[in-house]
This record gives sequence, structure tokens and C-alpha cells, in this order.
Amino acid sequence: MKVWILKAFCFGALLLWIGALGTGTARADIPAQPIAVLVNQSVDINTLSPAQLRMIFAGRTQFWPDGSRIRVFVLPPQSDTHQQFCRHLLNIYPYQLERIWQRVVYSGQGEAPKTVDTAQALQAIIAQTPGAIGYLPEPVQTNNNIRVITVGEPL
Amino acid sequence: MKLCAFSFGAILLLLSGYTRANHDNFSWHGFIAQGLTSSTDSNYITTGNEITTELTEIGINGSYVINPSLSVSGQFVYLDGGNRFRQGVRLDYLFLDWRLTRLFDWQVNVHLGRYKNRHWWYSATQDVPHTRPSISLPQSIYYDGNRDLALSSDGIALQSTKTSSSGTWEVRWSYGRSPLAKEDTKKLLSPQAQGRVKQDFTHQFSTYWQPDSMQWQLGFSLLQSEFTYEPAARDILLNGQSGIDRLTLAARYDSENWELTMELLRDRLMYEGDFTQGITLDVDKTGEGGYLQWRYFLQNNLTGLVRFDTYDVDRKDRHGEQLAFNSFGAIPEHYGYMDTLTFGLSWDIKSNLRLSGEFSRTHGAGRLTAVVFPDALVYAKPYWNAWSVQLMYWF
Repeated sequence: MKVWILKAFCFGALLLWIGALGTGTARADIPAQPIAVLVNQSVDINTLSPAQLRMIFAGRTQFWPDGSRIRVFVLPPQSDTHQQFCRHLLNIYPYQLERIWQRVVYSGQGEAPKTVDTAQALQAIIAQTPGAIGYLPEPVQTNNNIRVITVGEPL
Repeated sequence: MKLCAFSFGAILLLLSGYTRANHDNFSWHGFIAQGLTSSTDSNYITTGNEITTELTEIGINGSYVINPSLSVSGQFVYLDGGNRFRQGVRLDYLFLDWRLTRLFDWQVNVHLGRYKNRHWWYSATQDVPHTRPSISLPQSIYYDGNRDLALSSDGIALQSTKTSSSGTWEVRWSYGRSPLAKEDTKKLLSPQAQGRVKQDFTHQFSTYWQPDSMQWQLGFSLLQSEFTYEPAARDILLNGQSGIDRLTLAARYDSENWELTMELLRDRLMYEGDFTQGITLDVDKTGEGGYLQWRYFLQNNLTGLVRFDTYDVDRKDRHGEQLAFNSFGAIPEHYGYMDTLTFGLSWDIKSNLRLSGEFSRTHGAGRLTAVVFPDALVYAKPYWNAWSVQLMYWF
């Protein structure tokens, strides 16, 4: 009874695969680029583990340990820096992160990160916003309002 | 009603430009989706093979952070899905979110009020068009007739998320009950029922594990629920008590260019009740089903979908022969099962605008009948088709 459906499923999957080959699926290799994680000077944290960083950028942790709000800023999803940040620092595909954000926002669990168009604008908004966190390609010019934090397992 | 909803939607569209200017502690979001849809050789979506615009979803949600431990969230939705749903406005959820921990690695939340069911892959946002993989969800798990009952309940829910270098572990528990509209009674029990079904309670537990590689996610959920039937003054059903036990197993694999999702289900349904003329009914049957879904990211803004969904109403009668025999042929065999194959395509025109289309071919009508007493009143030929096109905007 269900053989025709399984055959059709396989045929559909094959068509999708051929379609993907034909359109040259747009996940081109991105050249490796070191990324720095930045926080506003008000944030009293020097190190975050990769798992903690993922909790913050996935919107699952919305407050710093002192009770102040975490304000997360990201670059546009298509930017090379965002793609690198997701893959190498969060260990997640960008579409997985977007799926998590939608789940957080549309089930009343919190806010998605704010998208900022350029690296310069992102640096400026982190400097201005207490509790802010974001990322930029290295090297980063820090100042009195911005700090670079370490991502790694605590010693 | 639909005109009011569209007017409200137009106001939302005008206001959506201001959503970025959120107050520090208040945020709001929304969505508007409109489509064209039809079912042929079946009354699943439309009657008489007609094409309709009854594919409207409009919603608005808001969250207010009272302090680091407490916030309030809620969402109103207007829904018109042809024959699939009760047309009208719903309060999908409204709950107090109490954060018990403030640790980076471990979040524990308690939800009080009308909490959302978060126990299945898509249940947390199954009411939000652009978060679903397709316009219609697989009916084996996300049965449309059960939508309001499955989406949220009034009571208490607990959610824990623990993360470490080895992975993320989520545990969810909830206990509550859902108010049921009169139309829900007919979909759940029988179109002949004149009284009301009341849910006594629904008790759910689920847990999901995702290793640090983040590619796999595995989990299971358990559900136990009881219902009581309150008959009308003139009714064919004099009383009734029913219970549902449900187990689901879930797995997902995320690759660079594609995503494979699977959920399997086993539903045990028990019913005891008295009809007029001294007939007693004692039902105890177990249904089984599930789906396998493959999404391929053809381009950054183009996603294809192929899904096989299957459901057998009674695992001891997978071909519906007993069903037809017991009803002296009044209920055809194909009401004992339902197998659906769906093809879909989604195009993200902008970051908050999507056009989706899908076509499905179905063999059987097992999910078109009332859950407790299968009834062939929802017309369907053994093989039937459905298609939908929907434009979605969100902010």
C-alpha cells in the first residue's frame, strides 16, 4: 500500500538533489578569518565557554549574572563574518541559529539579536549600549567603552 | 469577521515599521499570512473542489520584562483555514515566565497561565506560518482537528535547559487543561454529539538531547490526558469518559545544505460511555504513525521539501478492513489509515517576506474523521489531493 509513496519520496528527494546541483548550492567556502567577541565595558565578564556563548547568542540566556539585560548584536546573516562566527565560535549553521531565534521570539521566550548592517555600526552600538555583546573580524580597535573577551573553557 | 481581521492586519502592517523602537522592557512582534488553497476529491480544506482564500493567519505577540526573574508574554491569533480549523480569534498563550536560575549554563523557567506546548518539534510555534516547514504540518502528529487542544493549556509548565561542552539537554514538564469549543467536541468525539467534551487534564513530559557537534538532536515525549463528556438535554450520547496516552520519538539531523526530520507516534485511545437505547461502548485502540521530512536549501533563499507522512488509526487494523466490517460498510476501509506525500517550495523574497507553495497526494482519510468515533461524514475518496500557496510577512 505504501510502496508508491516511498518510491515517490525517493524520486522527490532525487529531484531536490539534482536541483541543488543544478543551482550550484550557494554555500561557497568562506576563507578563514579570526573573529573577536566584544562586550560593552559595563559587562563584568572576561571569559565565556563556547557553550555559554551559544546560550547567549541563541537567546536562551537573557541576563548577565548581575541581573542586567544582555543586548545581543549581530551582522547580517549573509555576511562572511556572521557565517564564520556561527560555524567556528558557536559550532552551529546560521540557519540553525535563525530557527532557534524564531522559536524564542514567537513562543514568548525572549528577544532575537538585533541585526546591524556594518562592522563599524556594530562596534559603535556595542560601545553605546550597556550590557551589549557582539563580534567583529580581528583586529579590533578597542577603546574605553569596548572590551574583547576570551572564548574558551575556563582554566 | 474576516474583514475585521484584515483591517487589524492592515493596522499591524502600518505599525510594524515602529517595532524596532521597542521600549527597553517591552517588545512585540507579529505576522500576516494570506494564501490560496484547495482540496480535490476530499473536504479536508474545501468542499466541492473549490479554490478558496480561506488561508489567513494574523497574529500579534508581546512580552514585558518585569524584572530579571519575571516577564509576561502573550499572543492573539486570527485563523481561517477552510474546513481545517474553527474560524476566529484565539488567545494562543498568555503566561507569567518565572526564571528560577540566572546561570549561563543552566536555565530553569516556570510558566504559569496559558502556557505553550513545547513537547514536539514544531509545537512551540506551530501557530506561526513562517516558522513551520510547510503550510500544513504532518497530520500524523500535528492533527488539525486537535490544533487548539495541542497548542496550549491553562496550568503550569516547567522547562530546563542545561548546556556543557558535551552538549545541550532540555527537559520539559507541564500539567494543565485546555478549554474546548463546541466545534472541537464534534471533531474529537463525533459530528453527532450535541453536548460538550471537557478536558480534565493533560500531563506531558519531554526531553531532548543535542550533542556539542549540534548536528543531531534526539528526544521523546509522553502525554496523558483525560476527557469527560457532558451531554446535551437531547443527545445520542448519555455520558462518556475517555483517556489518551501518547508517546512520540523524535530525531533531526542538520547538514550544511539539508535537514532531515522525523517524529514517530503511538497513541492509545480509551473510551467508555453509554448511548441511548442501552448501548454501551468500550473502545480501546492504539494508532501509530509518523513522518520523515527532508528539506534541501537549494539557494540561500530557496528551500525544497519532500515529506512522507503516515498514520494508521488502529494498529490491529492497518488496512481498515475491521472498521468497514464493524460498520456494515457504512465507513469505508480508507478511513482506517492516511498516507500523504508532500512536495513544497519556499522562496524568501526578503528577510521577512516569504512565498510558499505545496502539493500533497493522500491515500486514505484516517485523520479526517472524529478521533473517538470514526465517521465518514467528512467526505474523501480513497485518493485525494491538496495544494496551497501562501504569502507570509512577519516583523
